[in-house]
Amino acid sequence: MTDYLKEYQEYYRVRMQRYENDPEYTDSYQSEKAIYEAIAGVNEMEGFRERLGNLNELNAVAYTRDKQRMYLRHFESMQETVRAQTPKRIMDKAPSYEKVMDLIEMINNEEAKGMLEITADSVSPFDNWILLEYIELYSKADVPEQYKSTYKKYIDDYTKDQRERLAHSEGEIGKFVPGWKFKKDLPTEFRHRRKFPVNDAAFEARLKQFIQINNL
Amino acid sequence: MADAMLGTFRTMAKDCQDKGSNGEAFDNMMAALNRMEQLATELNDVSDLSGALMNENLYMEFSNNYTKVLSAAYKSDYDPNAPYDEKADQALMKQSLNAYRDAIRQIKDSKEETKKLMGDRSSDLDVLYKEQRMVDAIQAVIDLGESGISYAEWCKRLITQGLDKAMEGSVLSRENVEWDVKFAEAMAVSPAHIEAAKRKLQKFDELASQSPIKMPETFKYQLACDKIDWELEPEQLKWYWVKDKWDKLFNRLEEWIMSYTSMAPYIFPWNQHSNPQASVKESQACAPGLFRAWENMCKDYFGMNAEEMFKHPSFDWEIRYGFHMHSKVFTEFLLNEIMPICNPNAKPSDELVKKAEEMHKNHMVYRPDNNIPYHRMKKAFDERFGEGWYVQRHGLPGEGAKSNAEPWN
Repeated sequence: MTDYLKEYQEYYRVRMQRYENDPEYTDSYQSEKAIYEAIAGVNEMEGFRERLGNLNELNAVAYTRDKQRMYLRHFESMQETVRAQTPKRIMDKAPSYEKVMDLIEMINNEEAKGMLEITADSVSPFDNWILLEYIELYSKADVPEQYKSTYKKYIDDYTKDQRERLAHSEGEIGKFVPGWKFKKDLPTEFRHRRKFPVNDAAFEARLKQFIQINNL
Repeated sequence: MADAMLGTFRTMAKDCQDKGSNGEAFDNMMAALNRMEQLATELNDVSDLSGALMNENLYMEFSNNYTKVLSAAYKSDYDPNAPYDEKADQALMKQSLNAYRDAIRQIKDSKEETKKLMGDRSSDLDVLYKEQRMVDAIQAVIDLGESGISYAEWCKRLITQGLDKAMEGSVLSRENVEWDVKFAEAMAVSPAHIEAAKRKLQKFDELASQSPIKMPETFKYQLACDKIDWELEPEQLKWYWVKDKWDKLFNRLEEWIMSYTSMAPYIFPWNQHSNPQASVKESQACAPGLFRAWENMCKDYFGMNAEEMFKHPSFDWEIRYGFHMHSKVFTEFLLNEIMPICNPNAKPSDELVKKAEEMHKNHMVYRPDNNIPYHRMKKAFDERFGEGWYVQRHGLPGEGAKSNAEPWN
């Protein structure tokens, strides 16, 4: 006849050992240990159910915290401060949850909120310099006088296009983040600045040009 | 548009209906879907619809309730208040095994649905998505559960025999990660793109070697890949930005010297203009000023003048991998003889103009080996998908410009 209690005790011991000495899963180890100790100290299955209480639910919370901690460290190591907000909030909130379904719902909601934060963190349309470059090019190129009026028209057209692009970005992003406006200091933040592989002075000049053109 | 955006939700809802799901969560899920459908009929623009779905939190409303419906669907005959006996043990086992059987069905259904969407290219999916590895891993779990052991023993062996990790790891395939390296080498976008693919393969092997079942933990592997992409992104971007700028410099040099040739009004780009003669004159007068303005931008951006821009490894790379379409003799002519004199108010000598004309007439402007990327891609894709695949999908290589020039070394 199967000794169910003994088999469950073995099963929970294996589960606990899985996370032993794993620095990434410290909460899970403590949680699994609590479950194992609950079952190791009883003589019959029914006693285990009483001692188990909500430990299984708390186990899900512990696993969530471990996983989100890994996300958090990952994003922090890259100075991705906006992306790091979601795991941080989930980690903070998780301990107050006692039901797995509620925990999943909270995570889903936080991740959706995080997606919107990433959308709001956009530097569009400053992420494409092509119009700004042509405006500079036609302003600075040393060309005969007779072509300057043509070049002035190019500059006016590109300036108009650049302003339309900003209006378009505000409209498109505004569908997801109502009232979204371009933040002129945002491109200088590390996570954005690293995507513009040019010298600091050139970057600052380009940003200044963008701000001036768009009257920001 | 609505089909693409709501198709998945409709399939999920239908699946629940087919299983006879009901209750509050099911009603909430269907209400969210109905609202999505209503918005889809009202809004024609993809981003308008997507924004409305996000703002009303309908994706989340649907997903959260779908999770609850699924969870309820797998509730079994197991009664947590009854004594734990063989009946209770078997009820738990049945509940779990049914979920795994369902997973196999969903994997197969999902592949068949994707193949339908791919139409005559559906056979590619058999190479890219080998579901049998996943199905086999899950089947091993089911087989163990059906072997007559208890639920607790089954759960334990999933861990001790690594079957849980094998199931999770079967989503990852070393074969696909290896292909990513070959694909990156065939595409040859930049050294950093190839480096990223190679580092991911290296990370795959490193994590696999730490695992008792020789499979990387999916979550850790995904984070590692994300980090690799992040680390190499600035290098990839810089490569692209530098390449884009020397390309602009090169085009101005070509435009300037060719605009002085007698055939200029009859060749590209001037023959596309409404007044080719006027455009030719504009090129003659303005190309040097634009060339130097681009050069100044390169100095501001990267601290490199035009000469240095063409010494950047990306220029040699584009030649070596067959993306730079001009011949060696014409490229050297532009860089060595035209670039130094391409200044505002300057004019090339008759001798240089004659040289450019001769090169054009004698078909010396473009390289003779103008299909290098095609053949590189063909080789890689045929190895992956089968001989003849590339020609079948992309046709034979174009003839390219006629060339009597010597190939690049």
